[in-house]
Amino acid sequence: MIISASNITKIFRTEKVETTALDEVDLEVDEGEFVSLMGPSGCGKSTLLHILGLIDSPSDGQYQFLGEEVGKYPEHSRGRIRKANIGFVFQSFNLIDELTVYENVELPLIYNKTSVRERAKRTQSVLEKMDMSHRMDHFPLQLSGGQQQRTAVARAIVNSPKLILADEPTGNLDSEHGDEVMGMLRQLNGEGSTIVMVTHSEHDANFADRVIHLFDGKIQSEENRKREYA
Amino acid sequence: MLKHYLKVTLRHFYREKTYALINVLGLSLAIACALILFLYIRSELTYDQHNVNHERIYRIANVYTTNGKSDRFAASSHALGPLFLKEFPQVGEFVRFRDPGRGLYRYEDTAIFWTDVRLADENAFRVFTHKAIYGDLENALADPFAIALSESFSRAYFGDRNPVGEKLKTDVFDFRVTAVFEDQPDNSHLKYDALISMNVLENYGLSDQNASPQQLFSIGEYTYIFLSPDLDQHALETMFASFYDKVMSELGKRIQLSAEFITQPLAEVHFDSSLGYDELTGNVFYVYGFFAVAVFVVLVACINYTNLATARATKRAKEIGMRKIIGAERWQLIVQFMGESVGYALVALLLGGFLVVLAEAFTPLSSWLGKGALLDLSGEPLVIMWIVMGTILIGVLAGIYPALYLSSVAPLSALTATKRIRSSGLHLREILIFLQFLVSVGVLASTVLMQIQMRYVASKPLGYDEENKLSITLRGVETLERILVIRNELLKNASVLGFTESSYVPGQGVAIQLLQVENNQGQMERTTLNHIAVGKEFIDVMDIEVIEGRDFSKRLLTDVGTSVVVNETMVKNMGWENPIGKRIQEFNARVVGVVEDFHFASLHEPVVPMFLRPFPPADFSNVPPLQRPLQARTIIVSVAGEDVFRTINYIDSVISEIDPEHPFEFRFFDDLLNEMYENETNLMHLTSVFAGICMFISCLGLFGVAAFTTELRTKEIGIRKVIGATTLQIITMLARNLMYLVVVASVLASLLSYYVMNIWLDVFAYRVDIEVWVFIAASLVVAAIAFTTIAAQSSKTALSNPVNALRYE
Repeated sequence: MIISASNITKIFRTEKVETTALDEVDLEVDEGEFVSLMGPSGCGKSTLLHILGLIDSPSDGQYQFLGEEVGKYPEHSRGRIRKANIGFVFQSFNLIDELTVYENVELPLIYNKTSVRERAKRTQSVLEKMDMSHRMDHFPLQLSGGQQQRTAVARAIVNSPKLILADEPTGNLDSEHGDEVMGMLRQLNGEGSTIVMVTHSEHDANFADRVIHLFDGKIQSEENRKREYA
Repeated sequence: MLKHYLKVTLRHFYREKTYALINVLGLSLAIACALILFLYIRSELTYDQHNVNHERIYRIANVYTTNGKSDRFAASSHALGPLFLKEFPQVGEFVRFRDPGRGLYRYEDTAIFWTDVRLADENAFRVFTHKAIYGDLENALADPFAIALSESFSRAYFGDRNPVGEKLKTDVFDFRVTAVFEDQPDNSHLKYDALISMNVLENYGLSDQNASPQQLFSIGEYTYIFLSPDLDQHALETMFASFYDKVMSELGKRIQLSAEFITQPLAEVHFDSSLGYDELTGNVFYVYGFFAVAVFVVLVACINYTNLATARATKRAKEIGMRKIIGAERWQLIVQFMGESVGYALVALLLGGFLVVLAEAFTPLSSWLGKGALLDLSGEPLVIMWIVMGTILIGVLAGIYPALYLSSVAPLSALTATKRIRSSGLHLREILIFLQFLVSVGVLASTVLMQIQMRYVASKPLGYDEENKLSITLRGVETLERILVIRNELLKNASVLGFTESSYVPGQGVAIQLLQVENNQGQMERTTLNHIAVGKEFIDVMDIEVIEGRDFSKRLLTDVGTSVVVNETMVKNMGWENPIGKRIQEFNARVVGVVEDFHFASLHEPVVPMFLRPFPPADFSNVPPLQRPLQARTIIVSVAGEDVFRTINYIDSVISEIDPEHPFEFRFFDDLLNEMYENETNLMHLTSVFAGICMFISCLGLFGVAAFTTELRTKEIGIRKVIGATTLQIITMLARNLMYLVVVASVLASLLSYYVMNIWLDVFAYRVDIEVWVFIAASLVVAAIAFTTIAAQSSKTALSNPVNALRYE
């Protein structure tokens, strides 16, 4: 089991208003699974993803990541686990504009203190895999959306994370590039990566093994789906 | 990792050119200022420390007290060294320097007047550190007719060649060049262009063998003790105290004068400005002041950096958040941001250094600072290291807050709106901008006050007419004996309006003497007095007002002895109800008139009690042959305002005909007067420049911050415009908060400036009062500049079509 979350609650408070984004959510994800989180805007799916990805903490509940209770961890401890185990792909790519494709992909390795030689080897190999090596000296703003997202995926997997989290990975792409990215995620899953993805799109959700529907911060339903590409 | 940071910094630099330019420009200017001031302060604080032995060298100064009134003098008696050593041979050595006065030195066809030639004891080069270029400095002053030249002096006559063995002629003797030494560092309190052997005085019968205690009460040269290594300053003081008791006290009692010796460690001489008859001294107040300015300017630039960096947090939140998500730890981000600011500072150092070089080459900076080339740091790796360390410190200072602040951004900020970040940075930014205004208003107000004081000094009536007066020195008995001929010849020209003589012109030392003067009750009383010997027409030519009695231009049959004219202050000081007829014993003189106070000294000094006495008839028949060429007298020639230079040519021709030996030299009174305020004038120039730079850097920062504030509020501006706000209202809204800061900062800055300027103005005996309008004006100017800066920045958004602003989000 890679993720085991129970009673996860997230409340956003401002001076006068209290909004419950997640209300006692239970979720378990096994290694090698591809899970899709679906639901209308504001249902809490991104919040759940952020908590699962250790970039936000729950207001209440237990969260075990790889068997370690991390729900109450402070940021620096979460950061330590995050950088070794989790890769992120976002709707808006979130590449660093000042870095080239190569440097963006290499960055997680730098922060993980990987040796220079190893860094070069792994970055090259991932870029080839994502078919981005011909663009490696370009800056993000010089790339198409699809290319940017491929770079983001490359960055997410360069460190061989146990878990890949994707937040609407095709949301800013046309259907052709969207399918390309989904194909890549599927492929990574086939190679053993665990993936949790937030999406609006039924089409994209079909790439997952399991689809979880959220509504008003609660899990409404869960369905196992047959893989389109087995 | 380092390479990665460097790359990112450079790319940020390139991508946000305006931001980078504001930072680099601000930091460069600040570092240039700080560099100049650091080097200036270093030079001031290391005065005379190039002397290897400086810790063992003491200058002996004196305090003379009579009738409860004390006078302090840097100069001491020629006999002090030898007599003191006779009593305490274990003390070490003494070295004396004596000023023979401005003199003409000739070699073949080259004849140049030099002011800073000194007579020095043989061991001067052994005690004080000099670098030899030619000759043997050890024995350079053994021969009574030896002269050792500085490099500049030598170059003026001999170019680059070795002059050792050549003869330089003066009016009296020929001197043989024995050595050439490197010019002294600028920060030497006693500067000389050449040294002549003190032994030359033996020709005048002045030798250490016949030094007598009577000579100890007349002063005229600087005496230094080179202390033996096993003694300290306290021991030296004790010796001088017992020396006084043993050798001088009896004699002192007889003439109602007591003396005390002050031992000044060499490195402390420069900052002691309490002594009369001293070389130009430094002012610790300026060192503190400049230090404060350096800190201010650097602070303002650091504040800019901090301000802009935190304002940019919104823009960088995505990068920071993303770095954190993919594994950056906080310390790594702190290193990255600190690295950026240190990088900026180092680039700014290069640019700042270049600015200093430019400033030294193309502005009068060096002369304002009174220093030579400041940036000549060859052979001073330690100083260069300090400068680089200082720059890194500036980088750290500027970057520390942004680094801590930016690295605290939550990883989620990469994904969500950044409202939280912007609001938390705002408070500190306001404080920082407040500080900038505080400094700007304070510096500006102080500069204006300095200007006002210097104008006051320049325009204050001095009690005489200083316009178109020339001061000319006549040299040698042959010329002086024909002074009447010169007078008559000059007065033949209609443009020469007046001619007189004076033993003293502005900027020179005035004779001070212990005299017996009749007090109000008719008894004789001892008091120290200044006096000037003048020509009979002096009061008339100088247009000094006689307020009681008469001047001494005409001698009445009833006059007994010498007639003297006193100034108002002397009347006041003596408490005379009826000054006419009062006696001054030593000159067998009686007061015949009282003149209004006049300022020959600078306005730093209050007018002192003094009297004018006529020169005795020009009879030089008793002057011994060796003294004859050394006799000199200053004449004052009043000329018409038109065609001054033609008149000067005429004067030149008359004097040169009578004295073809000496090149004709003259000084305008105005120049002599201005020279007395050189320090203050330079300070004023410097402060103006620094005030300008301070304001400029502050504006740069304000411009940047206004840009970011406007950007953050773009949507708000759009909405406000849609519902009816005018452009002016928008600009006012954006500027309002900053304007509040200006008001508060102005009040505080005014108080601080008032306090500091009061101290500065107290240097002057005659000073202006500080008026409130200066502070109001300075505040208004700063407010106006600030408003314009903000308006210029925000008007673009405020003027544009509101829909653009709305589309922004």
